[in-house]
This record gives sequence, C-alpha cells and structure tokens, in this order.
Amino acid sequence: MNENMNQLLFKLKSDLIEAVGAKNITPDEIGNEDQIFGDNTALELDSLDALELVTILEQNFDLKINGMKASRDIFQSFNKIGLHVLEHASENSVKSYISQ
Amino acid sequence: MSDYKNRNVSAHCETGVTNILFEEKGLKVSEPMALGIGSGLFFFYLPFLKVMGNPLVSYRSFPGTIFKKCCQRLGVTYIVERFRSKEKGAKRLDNLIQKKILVGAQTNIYWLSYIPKKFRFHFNAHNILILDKKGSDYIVSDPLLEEAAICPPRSLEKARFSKGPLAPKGMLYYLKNHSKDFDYEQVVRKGIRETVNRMLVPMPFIGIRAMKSLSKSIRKWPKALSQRRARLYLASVVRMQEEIGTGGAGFRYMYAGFLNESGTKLNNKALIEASKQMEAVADEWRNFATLAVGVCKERSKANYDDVADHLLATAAREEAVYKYLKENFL
Repeated sequence: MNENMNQLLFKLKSDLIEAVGAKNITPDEIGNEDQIFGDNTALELDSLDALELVTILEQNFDLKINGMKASRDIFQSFNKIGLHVLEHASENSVKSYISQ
Repeated sequence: MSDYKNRNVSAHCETGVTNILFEEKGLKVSEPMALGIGSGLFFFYLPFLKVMGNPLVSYRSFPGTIFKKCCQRLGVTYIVERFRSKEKGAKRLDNLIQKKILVGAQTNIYWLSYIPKKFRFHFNAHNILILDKKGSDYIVSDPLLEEAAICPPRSLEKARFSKGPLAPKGMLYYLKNHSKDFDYEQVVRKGIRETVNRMLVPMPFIGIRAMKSLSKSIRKWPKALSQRRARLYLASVVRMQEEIGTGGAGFRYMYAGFLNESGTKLNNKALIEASKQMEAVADEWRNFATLAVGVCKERSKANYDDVADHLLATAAREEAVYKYLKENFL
C-alpha cells in the first residue's frame, strides 16, 4: 500500500472516531479490511452513523454517496473507502485533506 | 451466478425495476426520470399511524405508484397481478418465466434468504426482478446485490405473501407493449404538476405543511415522551430519509437529477435552475439528518428545537422550488 493511501486511511479513521465520539480507540486499532458497521466491529457503528462518513466524504472531497447500493459497496471497509476517494476525488482535495 | 447478469443495480428498487422493465421493451427511462415522471417525490407525516412503533413519515409516494404512473404517462400497457392463493401465485410466476417474460415482484425483504441477515428488516415494499428458474430455485436480480442471486421457492413465497402494512399479496408486474410516440414535454409536465400540486396542498399531513407539522412534533417529543422514545422517533425520521433505497436526502437528490435530465432534453432553463435549487434542498435535508443523528446519539450540543428549526428552514426552501416550478414551467 502506498504512503498516500496509508495517510488517507489514517486520517479518515481519525475523523470518523472523532465524529462518532468513540472513546478508547485509535486509528491503528481499526484494520483496513475490517467491517465498519455492525455489533462486532471496532467502532460498533449502526446505519445512522453512516451519515457521519457521508458528511466527511462530501465536505472534504465533494463526493456524493447516494443510494443504498453505493453506500453499502463503498462503506464495506476503509480500504474500499480509500480506493473510492482516490478514484473519484481530485488530487488536490486528497493532498489538502491529508495535510490538515 | 455468473451465467446471469444482475439487471437491477440501482439507487432505489422501484425506480430501478421500472428502468429495467422499460429497457427490456426498448424504452430508455433512467431511474431519476422514472421517479419524476411517476411523481414519486412526496412527503407525508401521519403521527397517528405507527409503523414498528414509530409515527409514519414518508418522503415518497405510495409503493407501486411510480411504476404505474410511469406506464400510464408513457403509454405503456402493464399488467399487475395479485393472488390470494400462494399456490396460484407460484404457478403464475412459473408460467410467466416459461414464457420468457421479465417480471417484477413486490416482496418483504426480511424473508429473502440471499440477503445477509444484518441487512434484513421487515419492509413489505421491496421490488426485485425474477430472471429465471433453475430446478426449484428462482434466479433473481436485487438492487441490494452486486450479482444475480438464488432464491429458494420457500423464501420467495414467504417474501411475496408476507402480512402487515403494504402486504405484497404475491404481486407480480410486467409490461405488455407500448406506443412508439409520446410527447416528452407533456409527460414531464404531468409528472411535475402532480408533484408540485401535492407538495403545496394546504393539508396538515401532506407536503410542505406536513414538514411543518413534523417540525412541531419534534419540538414536543423531548417534553412529551421518554428520552428513549423521543430518540427512537427522531432516528426513524432519519432512517426513512436516508435508507431503504431513498437515493439519499429523501429522494431529493434523485429528483434534482430528474429535473436536470429533463431540462437538458427539453432545453429548458427553468428546469435546470430548479434542479440546482432542489440539489441545494437535498443538501439541507442531509444536514438535517446529520444534525438529528447528533441529537439522537447525544454527540452534539444541538437539541430537538435546533432540529425542528432546521426542518422548518428546509421546508421553506423546498416550498420555494415548487413555487418556482409552478411559475416558470407549469
């Protein structure tokens, strides 16, 4: 995995942890391929929390995630989210997000 | 299931199935167009009617009406069949498959065994396409899945004959034939007129007035209900807006897509402008949802009054779009 992707995923995990107010967990404790939603996951997020992820992607990369299929595909794991961002967001928005 | 292409990758099941059934007959009607022509955008709030313990809030028209209105307005003959007997329902489906007719079916998602358990919930208006039958199993195309899936007959039967609100009663639907010509502008105009009239109707539980009623209720919930119940009610409002194939923001993004596509096809500046306005409204609905989730989960300093205020402001912006369409397009 390249450095860009690593930094992107770290920042996405940090922002989501902050957005959902999760305590006692660090980005390193969430695997890139781990499921994000469900009872037996690191963050134990439910479907309402998906909105926080949607907001992070919209605000930082101007990416719209609409429709149940799109969100379920993309929000399977942080790796999938990262790949989606790298594929669809502008290079500048990714750079500026990572450097925040 | 690589032999079968999933026909129904879509943002919303009814518009997705409509889109594929039309495509099969050589008619190109995108999902947003199906929503718009079928006057699928709506809002109603019925506080006295509870679904799974929560007051009923809907951001779209009654299930099945998008498909029917699309067919009627585009001059497409369609057949809808409902059954009292499960046996007759299964026999008829097999008969249609034998005749190689692509069939849509209304189901309860909870009983579809190919859907992972964590995604299942009781919802009686989930639409799928039946592609074929292999042995006793059905091959189905579902908007929730990447690929076509195998559905055992028992599972499909339970899903088609589930009881409760919006019970499917084994409903099957398919297209017969269509007239080659229709006036595109007329069709778009009819779809928009019905939506605009319904949304602006001065009745407390329908359209913009219903949004205002909901805003009043949200303000009352923390005082009138237990904290847990108030949170459940608010969460339900958000779930109806952002889940079950709404295309996001209670179908407002998809409707903006319809206005944009129609505006481009008809070279109509008013529709393009309305599409931009509706997209901004959709953004506000999404902000409303984010704010509400913050309150439900006690993550933000916002309270129920803030959520109610945001809803009022969003309702005013949405009302302005309908008034704009009324003055500049209808």
